[in-house]
Amino acid sequence: MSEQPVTGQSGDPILDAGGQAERTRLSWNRTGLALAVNAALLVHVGGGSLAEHVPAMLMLLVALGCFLFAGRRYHTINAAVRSDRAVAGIAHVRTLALLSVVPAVIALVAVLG
Amino acid sequence: MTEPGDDRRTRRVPLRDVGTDPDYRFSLANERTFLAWIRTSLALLAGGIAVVQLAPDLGPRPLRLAVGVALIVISGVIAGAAHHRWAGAERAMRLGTTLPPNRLAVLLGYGLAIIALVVLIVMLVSGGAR
Repeated sequence: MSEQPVTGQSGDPILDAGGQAERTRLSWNRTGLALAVNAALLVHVGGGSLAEHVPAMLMLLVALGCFLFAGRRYHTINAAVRSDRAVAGIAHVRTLALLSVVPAVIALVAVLG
Repeated sequence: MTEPGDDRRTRRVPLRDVGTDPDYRFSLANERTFLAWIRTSLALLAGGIAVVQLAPDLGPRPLRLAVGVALIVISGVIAGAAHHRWAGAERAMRLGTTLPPNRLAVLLGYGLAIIALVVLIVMLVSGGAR
């Protein structure tokens, strides 16, 4: 069951009570940073040809997607809480899990190759 | 609505159609825990790449390769299992049942302990390979 919105002294609902949406946004941002660090590492170990930088580029794209998604997710959560809708983002969690397994596979191929 | 305890049947039902929406704070905490596991997985991935490509003094290449591949494989397994854990916890919260046991911590703990032991032995035997 969803919680009732937290209200301030004036009786108006408080936006993002407890900083839930903000903490989730920062968590997505930290994950984006971790992805960017991995991309930088793959660029460092990659060779001279463009093909050898494909894993790094893929990782960088996922990192970029993570950063962009973080902002969008913040507003989605606030809107969902205001209108008493569910906040669980099933599709994006599944996508991120998949996109995290794929770079691991690519890194494995890059290391063994 | 699906009855709690009918575990096998509820696993096939889409998450949104199971039980009732939990407190949004619990859903968001579950999402942040999932992201923390993904970051753990990414740290292992970086460690695996670094051991193979950036630490030539650690030991012979085949051993570095074995350690690096083990780290990358554990990283991939953790990323996949993190989603499984997230879905399991979300489903349990929607049904009001007990949260499933966290096997990821066991995998990470024992996996890293074995790898740390292997790296220690390699370093002691090779003396840094210089």
